[in-house]
Amino acid sequence: MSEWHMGRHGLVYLLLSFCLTSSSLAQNPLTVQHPPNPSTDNEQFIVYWTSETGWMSELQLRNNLIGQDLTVTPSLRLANGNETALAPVTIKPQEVKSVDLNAAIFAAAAPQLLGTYGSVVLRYHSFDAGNLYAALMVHNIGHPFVFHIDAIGQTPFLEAGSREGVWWLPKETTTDYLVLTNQGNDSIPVEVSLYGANGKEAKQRLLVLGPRQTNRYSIRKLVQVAGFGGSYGGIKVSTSAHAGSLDTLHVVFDETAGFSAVLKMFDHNPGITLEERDFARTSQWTTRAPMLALSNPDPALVFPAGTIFRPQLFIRNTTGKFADAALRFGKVAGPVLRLNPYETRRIDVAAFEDGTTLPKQANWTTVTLTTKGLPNEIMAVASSYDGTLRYGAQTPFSDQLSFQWEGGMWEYDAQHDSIITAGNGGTKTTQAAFTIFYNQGTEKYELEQTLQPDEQMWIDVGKLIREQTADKNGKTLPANLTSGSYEFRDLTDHAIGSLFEGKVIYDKTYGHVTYGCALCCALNNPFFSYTPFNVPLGSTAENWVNAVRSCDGA
Amino acid sequence: MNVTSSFDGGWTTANTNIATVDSDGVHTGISPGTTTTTAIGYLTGSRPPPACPARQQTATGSDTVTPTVSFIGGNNFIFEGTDPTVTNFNGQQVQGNPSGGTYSWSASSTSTYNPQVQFNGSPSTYSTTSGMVTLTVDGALSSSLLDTTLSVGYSQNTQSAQLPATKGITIRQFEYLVQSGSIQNIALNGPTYGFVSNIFYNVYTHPQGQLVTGAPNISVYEQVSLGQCNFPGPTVNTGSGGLNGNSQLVDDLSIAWGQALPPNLSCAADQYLGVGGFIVRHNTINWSPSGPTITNLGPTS
Repeated sequence: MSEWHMGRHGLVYLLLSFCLTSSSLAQNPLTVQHPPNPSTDNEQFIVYWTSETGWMSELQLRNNLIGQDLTVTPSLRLANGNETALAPVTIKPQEVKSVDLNAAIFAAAAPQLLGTYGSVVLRYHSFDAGNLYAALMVHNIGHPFVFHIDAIGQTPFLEAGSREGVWWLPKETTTDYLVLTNQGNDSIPVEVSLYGANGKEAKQRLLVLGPRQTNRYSIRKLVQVAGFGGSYGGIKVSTSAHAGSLDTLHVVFDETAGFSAVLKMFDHNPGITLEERDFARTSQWTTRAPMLALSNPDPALVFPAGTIFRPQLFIRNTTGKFADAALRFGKVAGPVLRLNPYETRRIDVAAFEDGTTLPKQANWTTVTLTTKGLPNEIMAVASSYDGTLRYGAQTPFSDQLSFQWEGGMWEYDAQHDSIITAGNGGTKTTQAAFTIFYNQGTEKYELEQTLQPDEQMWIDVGKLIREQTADKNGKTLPANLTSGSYEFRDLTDHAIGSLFEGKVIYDKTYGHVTYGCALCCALNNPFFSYTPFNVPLGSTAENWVNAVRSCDGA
Repeated sequence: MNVTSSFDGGWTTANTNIATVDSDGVHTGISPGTTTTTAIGYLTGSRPPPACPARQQTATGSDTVTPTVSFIGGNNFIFEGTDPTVTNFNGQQVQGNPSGGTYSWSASSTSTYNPQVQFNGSPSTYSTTSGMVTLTVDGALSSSLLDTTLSVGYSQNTQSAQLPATKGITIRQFEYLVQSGSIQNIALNGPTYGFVSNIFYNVYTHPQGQLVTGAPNISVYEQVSLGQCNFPGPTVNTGSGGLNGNSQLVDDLSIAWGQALPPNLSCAADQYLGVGGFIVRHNTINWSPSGPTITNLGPTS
């Protein structure tokens, strides 16, 4: 599929995204001896849940382990930090389970959790925190609002840092929430600063986020107090202590316009190095948004005739110094920017749909931002909405490349379909493997594709099912299959990997599209195949390095 | 999972006088001793989900460079028996590196005959500072080829070879002869009368009837008993010595008489032949005016 045209993908209405990658805050003798993987108590956190009137929250849990069940105990925290445990959920290998929090609250006979909000903690006993993929979908009943929120872990011992974002209030009727959550048991002193588009700062009063507490603010009110003009600018939520326990979420929605968006926030850890986030070894920091909808909507999205998007980027300098960045649309160079300190600049992508940089009739492009600066010194948010804001899509920026991605739930039925993509963000050709797990993770469907740099593979799960497309083994998916999980693996580079990923699920019930993210896998504690290693005098012998995958333990 | 490729170029050893390592993790043992290997590479590292930063990570482990020992001489068989001309072919030689250490020899066998191998006349385990030993087995042989394993450990300056030198051998027993070619006769026509005959035999061993080659000078044995003859006083001369250069037993058989042989000459004899201390052939010999005829009474296999 061309990156310019994705006509057969049915992306309809709103595409909301909040993908939490790129997080620097969250951060024998002669036989190969696999080190033991002792189980430990693990936790992941979700910054926000709500059971307020009109809203519902759905938890999605996936077990990444191979051949081993995983039991997860979700607990809901109120805004004041009080915590209530829900019933444990046991998940089979590669299975993804959905938990309706309203139903779980009733089952737990916990009325104090009704009509309120807070954060979620997920506890489980396994060898690595990465054994669980978790996300929360916040729906608004009767409106096309869905917010996808990924679970994250705490980063111990990370003290100073910030969460960086942009605010965007495109209409007077637009409402927003800035959610701040303390995942840990130590109070966090938090300073919130708002910036005008030109970088002018308006500091808010210092606040203290108590243990496990969640605070929810209205940026609109803060902007009014600050006296900023314009419809967009920057947000900085900083702390000097326990930054590794601070998480934030910024969402906007408009009941009048039928509009909502997640304005993804990023960690900014002053101590992070380029080396840690330069996965393709290009000596520059690269972040990309894999699916920016251009002015002409893909016909497959079945938007009303005449709908025209306004694709745009909000690019923000999070530092007090000048920052340079270069944009690329697909493989074609775009503008080069010099951002003033703390400036937020809106880039009208439609202006580049001139037949030179971008084809005039293109439907989609991948936006790549590169900078010689440190990771997340510059952040970006992409959005494409029509003039009414009723129709549109989002694609989140992420710098993460990985050799393995464990994905959450995909859905396909009369009301849903799922489009999943992976691309090669490296500099060399790679072989990508895509696997669909179904029947509670007991069966799998496998595809492979060679990807050139910047090339993507696209999987329309519904189409695979409808058309009974055979996988590489000649297997087809059951015609009545409705959900499962998925995985991407880089078969060429097993250690770092060069794959980026994305997923959208569109839901005809509410008429919206949500963007989901997969969980990257790490490789921990490298060890030699042989140790102690015996080398015969005067002879040669080869030793090898192995590591354990954090997701599944293989 | 194997992530060695991410560590290319990142390998070092702490003491290169003991071991070196190349960019791919191939170690070379320089001198006996212990050192440490470190490999540094980049992996997607451990951070709380969902972050997977590219992190420099390190693997470390100890290396031990050990003496080595290997076979450098000897056949993959030995002959059963204690005859010195047989045990000459039973020598085995190993070499330890560095030299000057002690070897420990032992043998194990899966033969159903349960042979007991001795080293320079001593049972397993035999220690010696010499790399050469002579093996003997008396009374039992292999039941299949290479069913007996020699194992030689080696120690030098308190360090031992990680792996012993091992070698599979067959314990062969001289078993039977097969005549090679026709009998070569020379008639004696005075002053002595009779026949001088040469009979060539190939020698075979058990197990599995293997032809003996490369084994000259192994002792041979012959015994002939005259039976009925129709003339008085013949003499029979028998040969002795060892297998020839082709590892064949050559029977130099002669019968002689002081007068011309009668036209109806008839004389019989019973003959036993042996190799390396084992009787391997029983013949009946019948002379007629045209020479001897040999009938094989066994063994034949």
